[in-house]
Amino acid sequence: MKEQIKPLAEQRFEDEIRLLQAWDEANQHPKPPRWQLSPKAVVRFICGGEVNGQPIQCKYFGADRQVEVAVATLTTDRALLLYGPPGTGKSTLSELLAAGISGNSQLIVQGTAGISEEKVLYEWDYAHRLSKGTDINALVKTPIFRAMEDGAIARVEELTRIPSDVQDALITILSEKMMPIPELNEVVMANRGFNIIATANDKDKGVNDLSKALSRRFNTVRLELPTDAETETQIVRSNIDKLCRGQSLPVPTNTDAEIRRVVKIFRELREGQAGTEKLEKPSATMSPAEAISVVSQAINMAAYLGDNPQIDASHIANGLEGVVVKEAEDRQVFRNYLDRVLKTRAADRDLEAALRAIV
Amino acid sequence: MDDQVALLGIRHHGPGCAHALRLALQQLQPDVILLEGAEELDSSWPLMASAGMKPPVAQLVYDPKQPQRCVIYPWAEFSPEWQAMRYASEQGIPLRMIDLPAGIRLAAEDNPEKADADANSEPDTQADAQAAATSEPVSADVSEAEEELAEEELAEEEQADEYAEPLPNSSQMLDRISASAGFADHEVWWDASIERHSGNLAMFEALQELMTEARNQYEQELQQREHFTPAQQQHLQLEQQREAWMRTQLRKARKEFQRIVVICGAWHVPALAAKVAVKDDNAVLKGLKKQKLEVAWVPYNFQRLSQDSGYGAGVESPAWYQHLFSHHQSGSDAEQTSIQWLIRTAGILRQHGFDCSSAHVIEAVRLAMNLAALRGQATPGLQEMLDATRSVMTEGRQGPLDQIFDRLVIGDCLGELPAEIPSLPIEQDLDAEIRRLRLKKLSTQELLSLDLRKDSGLERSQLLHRLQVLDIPWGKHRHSSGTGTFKEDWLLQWQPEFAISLLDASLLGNTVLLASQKRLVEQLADSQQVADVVELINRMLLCHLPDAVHSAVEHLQSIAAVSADLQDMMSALLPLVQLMRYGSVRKLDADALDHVVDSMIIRICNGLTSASACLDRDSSYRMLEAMEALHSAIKLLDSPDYNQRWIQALADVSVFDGVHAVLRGRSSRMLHDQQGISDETLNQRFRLNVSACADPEQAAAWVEGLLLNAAAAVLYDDVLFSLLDDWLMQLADDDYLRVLPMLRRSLSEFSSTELQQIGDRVLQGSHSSHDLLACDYSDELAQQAIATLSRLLGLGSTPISAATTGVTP
Repeated sequence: MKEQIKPLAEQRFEDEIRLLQAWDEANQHPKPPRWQLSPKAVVRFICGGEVNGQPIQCKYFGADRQVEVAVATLTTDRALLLYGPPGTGKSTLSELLAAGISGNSQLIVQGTAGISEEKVLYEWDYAHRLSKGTDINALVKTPIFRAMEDGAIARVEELTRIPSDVQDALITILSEKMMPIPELNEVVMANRGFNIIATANDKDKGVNDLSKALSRRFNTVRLELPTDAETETQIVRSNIDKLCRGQSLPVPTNTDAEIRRVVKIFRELREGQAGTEKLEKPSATMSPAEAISVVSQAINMAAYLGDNPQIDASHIANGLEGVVVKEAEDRQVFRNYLDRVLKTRAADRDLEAALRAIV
Repeated sequence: MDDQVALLGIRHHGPGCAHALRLALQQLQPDVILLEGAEELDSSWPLMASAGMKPPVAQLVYDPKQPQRCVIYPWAEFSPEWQAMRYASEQGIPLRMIDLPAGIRLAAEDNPEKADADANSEPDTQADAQAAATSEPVSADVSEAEEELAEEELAEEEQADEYAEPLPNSSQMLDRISASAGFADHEVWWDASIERHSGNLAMFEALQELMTEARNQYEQELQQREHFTPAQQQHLQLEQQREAWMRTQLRKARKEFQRIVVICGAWHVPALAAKVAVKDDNAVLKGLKKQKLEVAWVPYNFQRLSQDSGYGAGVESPAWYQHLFSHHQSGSDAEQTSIQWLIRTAGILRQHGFDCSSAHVIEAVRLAMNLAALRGQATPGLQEMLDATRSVMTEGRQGPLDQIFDRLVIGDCLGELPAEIPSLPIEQDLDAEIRRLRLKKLSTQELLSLDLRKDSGLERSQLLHRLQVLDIPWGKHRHSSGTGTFKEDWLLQWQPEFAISLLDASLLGNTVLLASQKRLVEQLADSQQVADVVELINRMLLCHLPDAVHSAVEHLQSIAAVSADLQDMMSALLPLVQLMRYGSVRKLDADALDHVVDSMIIRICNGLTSASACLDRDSSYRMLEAMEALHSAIKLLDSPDYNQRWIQALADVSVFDGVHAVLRGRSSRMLHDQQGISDETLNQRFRLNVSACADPEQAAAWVEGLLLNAAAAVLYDDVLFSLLDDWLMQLADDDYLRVLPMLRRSLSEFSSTELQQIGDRVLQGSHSSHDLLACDYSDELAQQAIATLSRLLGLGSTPISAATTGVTP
């Protein structure tokens, strides 16, 4: 039997969505047109909680406030821009919002530097045009086109990687809620329920900043790195579990301790503070996503290459160095950190020794 | 409660409460108002109606002997108490303050510990004042008419005593009630359901019911408790006394008036409504000692209102509350209130240079309204406003919001007092100090010479320094006071306008000491340069403010750890080390400073090479100065570990190619001084750097670095002298002219005697290039090399004598 690596959110959480729909009905929560869940239920779907005595899993940790702003934005006819450093789960949130609101998270346009206007608006099926002439059936509909027709949420990933002129093609769609097709002298009107969720990250170089005209059509929700260690540990842990399950690997018994350690180091470097001691910050982001990859890499090394099923400090050290040291100056910062912080903690001596060999 | 008495429970500084209170008063038409405020305020509150009084203002109930022991009652226009006083004076009805006299509370605070400390200290009033100043919470404990603050502090004490189980408190009870309404935090719930509505009399009735329920739960939990810490007992006792006192006052009023309105914190309403026997109350209040206190009015501002009170329930956002209050008054609805607030936000954003159109305001209003609905609130609150502002107006960025936060949310409203209001505690404190130190406020100039070894001299100097911190330059320094000297000369002249600065200072504290301490600590918070902080520490020591020094050292530690400005740290280290050397006289905590110095030196030494590399000429010379300062600091510290690190850092810098020659030269010299390299190595480096293939300007810069402050070496180090001599002699005329200015500069640092001696030595002709050839070398090997060279150069096979070629190749 074949298994998908990652089923769509609306499939994975089918039961929960049904549960929330029942809850909406029972309490007569008001719903915007074409929403399958009420705004309240969407927030509950993402932030977790309990509905009629049944648990709803928390799918996005530690940002309830931002999720509320995001959902409230989508109830107005403004588009939503999720903005923040890489690895903060912008795409995850966008997927969950689309799954919760429209029950369809697959209407995606992936932004790239080479994308053309046709991929955003519509394309022509030239075979059809040549054989049967130019009519509405000769159109190849893009996900955004479909979302307008269906009154659903369309997702645009990495909006700022899209060239500026192509970006601006979205303005008419967002402000006039329609897409003119001059070749047919027709206009596609967006149906109620249509909206766009875009994601963009603020750390990339060589991005195309949004024009004022376009950015004015978006409400922006900034997703930051987790504010407390507990949340971050939770995020990493739940993802590691998922990854291990996917690969059918046992989770080593010292995984929790190692996650906590990696998260602690990332946070100390990110915030520039260890206890009362102030530190310099390296330029790297050191997001939860990177913590996940450091730990999962270590687990894989332990499972496939090591003699011992436990995670070893040296496995962690390799990944850590790669994440923290992105520029030449980071090496100095990291060395200071080893000298001033890691060295003083007896429990971290093994890691310090392993790091010293490579930093 | 009954026909005669109406109990109106409020939250202090709640705009919704204030508005509802006015409506309720108009409806009830009382013939007396009883207000929860210390009895001492009774005689002074009517001044609030005088012309020229503009809130925010505060009333200070203070101990005239120690003004820093005080209770502060800040009033803003949106404070329900202010509205009650205003109503009373408009209607000409009596208003009585019915809370326990502050004199009783302060008398109870004289805990045994402090009395001991006072007894042990010398019979010196200055020391007493400082002992009191260091046990700062004396005033803070009761500085609020708000119970929650006392509870917070209690919670802190409970944390300190890890075995103490915290007392149940009003916040917990209210949290439970608000949780049933679907709110995680009772503050948010209270704000949404009380302060953002223009309530009326019915609201107070509902509140009383709710509070009665909360109080019942609280009393039950309290009864189940068996063990209380002394601090908890004290807290409970005080609460009992206050409520018993208020009940007693209420009974008294019942005999005199027909329609009584009592205005107090909502938490107390059930206690005042309860039927308690007179003799029980009398038992609680029996034998209370009361201290004589005085009352003063001070102008206040929103900034202070948001800081000092520091309580969770209330004035985190004075400007927002002011906004709410004025919209309640004018009867605007939620949408209008939101629109006006967001228009104001947009205006402030524009003034700070951010684009913000009317379209932004429209969208922000819609988002705020939808967000409030999603969060189950009838009207948007401050949080919704800020969320909407961030999402719509500032593209999700928090930065612009942080920039405007103070103006937008806290506000810059400044209170004013009429001119005829009596003098401030700080003024009285200053006068007392002046009398004690036998000084006189004279409008003519007068010279004052102080001997710092004597207490009287030292204390006078400290007072003058503190006044300078408060922008009261009564004394002007005649000589630069190196902190090491024992003499200080001051020119004294009192100016009338100092009164204004004093008024300003009164907002900072009630004594010159406290105010100056607060001012310096505030400046500290703004200082991000290591050098600035060191200078502040110096001033704090001059003013003798040990507490401030302590926090300054902590601050220094935190910025020194992250400062990217290595030069700043390097130059700051020397004054810091000097401070440490004489700090013991001024009771400086040297251990904490040691730690700071330690981490600074580690960072400097690790980063010196990269900080010195790739600098242009001017920056290199600035770096040179920083290195000089650091070098002296390390010499002063004289620790083997630091020396070791410094030598390592110098060793790296001195041979790193990207570093300017002058720095390499100087660090080679320093390295040599620290015995990091031998004479031989130094000489080798000299030859390498001035060799003919080196650029003469670079060579001169290197030599300049090497010769800085090294007159003695030039004079007495024969090898160095001859190396220098030979280099100069072999320079071509053009090159010589190019390097001359640099040479002049390096020599200009030498004293005239030193120059004279060097000159003499040059004249003696004691230089000899042959010295260098006196070392071991094999003529035979040299001949082989010379033969090959000659062939390469096409000079034929004629052997050239090594001796005739001299040293210059």
